[in-house]
Amino acid sequence: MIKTNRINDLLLDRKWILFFVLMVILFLAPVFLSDFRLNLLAKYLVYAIIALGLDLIWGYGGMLSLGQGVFFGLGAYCMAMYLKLGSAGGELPDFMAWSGLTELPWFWKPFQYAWIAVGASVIIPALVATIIGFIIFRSRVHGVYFAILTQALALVVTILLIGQQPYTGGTNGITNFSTIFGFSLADSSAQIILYFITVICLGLVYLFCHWLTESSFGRILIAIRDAEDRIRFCGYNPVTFKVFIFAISAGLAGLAGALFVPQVGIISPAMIGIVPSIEMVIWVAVGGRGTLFGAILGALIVNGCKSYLSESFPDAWLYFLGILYVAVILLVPEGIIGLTKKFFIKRTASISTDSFFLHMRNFLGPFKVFKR
Amino acid sequence: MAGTIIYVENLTVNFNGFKALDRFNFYVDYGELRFLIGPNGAGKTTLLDVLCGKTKPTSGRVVFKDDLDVLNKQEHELVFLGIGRKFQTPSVFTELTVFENLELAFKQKKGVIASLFKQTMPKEKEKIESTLENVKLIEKMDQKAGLLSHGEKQRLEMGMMLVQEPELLLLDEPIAGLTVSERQEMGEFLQSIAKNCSVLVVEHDMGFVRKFAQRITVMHEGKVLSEGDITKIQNDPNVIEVYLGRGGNGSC
Amino acid sequence: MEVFLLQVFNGLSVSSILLLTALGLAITFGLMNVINMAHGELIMTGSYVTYVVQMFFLKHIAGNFDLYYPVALILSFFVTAFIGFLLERSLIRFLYERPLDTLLATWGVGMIFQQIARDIFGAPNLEVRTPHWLKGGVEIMAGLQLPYNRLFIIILAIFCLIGVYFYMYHTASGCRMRAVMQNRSMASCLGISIAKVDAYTFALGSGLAGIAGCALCLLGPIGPSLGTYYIVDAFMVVVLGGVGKLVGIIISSGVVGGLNTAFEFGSTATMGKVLALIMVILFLRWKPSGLISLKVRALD
Repeated sequence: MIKTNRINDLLLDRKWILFFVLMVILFLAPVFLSDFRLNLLAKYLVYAIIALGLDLIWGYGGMLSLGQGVFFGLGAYCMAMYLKLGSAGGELPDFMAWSGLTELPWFWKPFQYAWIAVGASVIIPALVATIIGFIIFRSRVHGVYFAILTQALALVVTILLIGQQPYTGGTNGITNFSTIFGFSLADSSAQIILYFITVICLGLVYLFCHWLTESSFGRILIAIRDAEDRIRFCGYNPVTFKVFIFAISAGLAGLAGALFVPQVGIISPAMIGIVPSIEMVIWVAVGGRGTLFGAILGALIVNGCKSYLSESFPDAWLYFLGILYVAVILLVPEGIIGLTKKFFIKRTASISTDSFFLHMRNFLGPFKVFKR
Repeated sequence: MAGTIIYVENLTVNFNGFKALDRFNFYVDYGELRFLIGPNGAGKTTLLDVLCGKTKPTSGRVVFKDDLDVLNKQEHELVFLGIGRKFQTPSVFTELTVFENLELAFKQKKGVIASLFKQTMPKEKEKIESTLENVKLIEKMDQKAGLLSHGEKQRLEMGMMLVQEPELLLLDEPIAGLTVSERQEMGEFLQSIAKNCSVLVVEHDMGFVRKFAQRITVMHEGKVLSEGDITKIQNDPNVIEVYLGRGGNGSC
Repeated sequence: MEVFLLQVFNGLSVSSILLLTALGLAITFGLMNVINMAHGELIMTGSYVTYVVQMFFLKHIAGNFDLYYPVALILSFFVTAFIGFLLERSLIRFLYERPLDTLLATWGVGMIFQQIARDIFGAPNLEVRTPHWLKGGVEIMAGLQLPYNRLFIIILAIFCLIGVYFYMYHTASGCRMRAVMQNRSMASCLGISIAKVDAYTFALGSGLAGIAGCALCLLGPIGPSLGTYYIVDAFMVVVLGGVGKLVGIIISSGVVGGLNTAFEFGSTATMGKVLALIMVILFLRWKPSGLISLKVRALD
């Protein structure tokens, strides 16, 4: 046991070195990147936060949520309402005036305060997920049904947002923000500060997810994924665990939404519906489900490709994305992280099993696939 | 220890018109090693399913330890109250190590918050390691459970049952797929744990039953056909008629 | 009275469309446990086949233009069935053990199909002309006219349903299909070629999507993203009906269609859809295995 502990310490060191190096690179990025590129990077990092949340529920918990976009959207709309009210300077937001509203709707009123908006952007999605989770999981709805029901949820929410134009801005969403916390959003220093906040949030979220997955809770989550009925007979109630992780992942998506809006400057139903929700899933699949680094990596790579391809070959992007779905699922369901693992297994096939696992752990240490 | 640990009275389970259990009455005492035998479709597994909360019956009542109504509890609550269940096919958590499997099953607080802040206590570790010694898996404690052989998985699952510290243990064909020597070990093992808790075993292998059973209940078409020790069962004309007689010694 | 009858007819009409779009899905999802997200795009393919046939008739056989529709109906079935066959052989058969992964992979296929349609036919919607014999309607009473195209879709849905029922329960190959879907390894032991049955079953489900696509041409313009409007509803119908049962999907398409129309009457079209979906989700909370479900003995 002492021996394994020492190896674990070593692995821990390596993982934290990698984490530290990445954070330093991200903190130095503003020096090297143009404002435009930095803004793009910030967007990807926001997506990485969503991917981490999705990885918790799908990669670790085995529940494929096709409604992550909804939670992202809830967080984003909470923030957008605050920004819109701040930009309107005490008057009625423009789209409400166009739709013939004369007074601010009651549910908009709390969002004049920044702290309410920030808090709500995390708490409301988590709360909604808790309620939906209780409805769905209590009736022992499993895998496939959960996916379809969450997709229906995404449809319901987009229809509602589009239909309630006077209150939500309809298809156009909410846009044209000018200030945040009293600073001008057009200012590049404000954007850089927002970028730093995003990096810090991503770092904290990673640490949080790491703590979750390394705790006893993480092991129970994996056990639920692999044999839900069996875990009941170990005395655990899978429902509370599933609801809890669903709420956490929704809260993270909401946080991402709140970070997204001031940096991208718009939120609309098209960004949170069925299609974006399922796109979020492919980020995690590409990176490697069940690994936290994989989720981040996947979000960065897929969105990097998206920006590059849709700038250079706008028509080819959808073909690429379509092929990516098929290829990743069919050929590398373990994702990039899993692929490196496979590659390594081939190279060490001749080594005896015990040392083979030791090697595998050493190699994968930074990515943290195995524990203990 | 005397007295009854579980009371099953007038239990009926109806699957779309098929009565798997039909006004079934059954009692198990504290510290008893009870075997359930009977032809296929007699309702043995269904009975275990009801006792562990997996299947809800159409009517009847099941009382555990004098005052606990089993029927309005969920599976995980029953485990917490002391009813353990092992299924026919070994099911362990393949992605977790042997040690982690036992750690999950260990009798402890099992809520979300408790699991988030849980630290492995030295006492717990000691207990798990001694259980691992007991089921002869101590060497493999850091291996992933998915890499174990069939017999080792069975033993691991028995270990998981033990650290749960159940008072009533329900086992569905625990020796299926085991070698002759492993069967002997399992039998002795069952006798040893029956000292601290009541064990209810569903088994088809008459040789095994003959060797280790104290009391036997024979089921047929959802009802009790006969109950008693092995000599009584073997000489009961009804049992010979529906079960033992057909397959020679009924070892099918 | 007219209003009420009209609403009932509308409900029937919506239900029949749901039934048509969900019938193929009931086979691929309900029987094969494949979550075919490209089902919507197969519907779209059926619509474009109809469009192409129509253009062909306009150009070459304009005199018999009205005949194009039956030809298109048959062609759209076989073209999409063939596409489904290829899809099953090249992709789906590798994913039978991983239903959630079929969802993601077929979603990718759907995206590719949409883009292909956009590249060939252009992004704007296209109009398919309704044949003359489906124009107009039958007047039941003053102020209540039932359009022929909607009546036709109701009849088509019933026809497809009977066809599927007959195939599944009264033909040898339907029996083989059910055998494979219930117990793959046993069926294989009995000498049934599982691979063939899988491919044909999936082709059948896909072909039914093609028919749905052809029918949708009667209701309005078609476009590359036509299928996305129907896919979620179709899945909800299958889930609500209880997987693996034809009766279930008839009832559930009736229920969803009826709810849709009823709520729509009370509010707006979009709210009607939202409320109907919410009702379905809440119902599944109460009865997770759907309207029609069998309680079976667990095997382990």
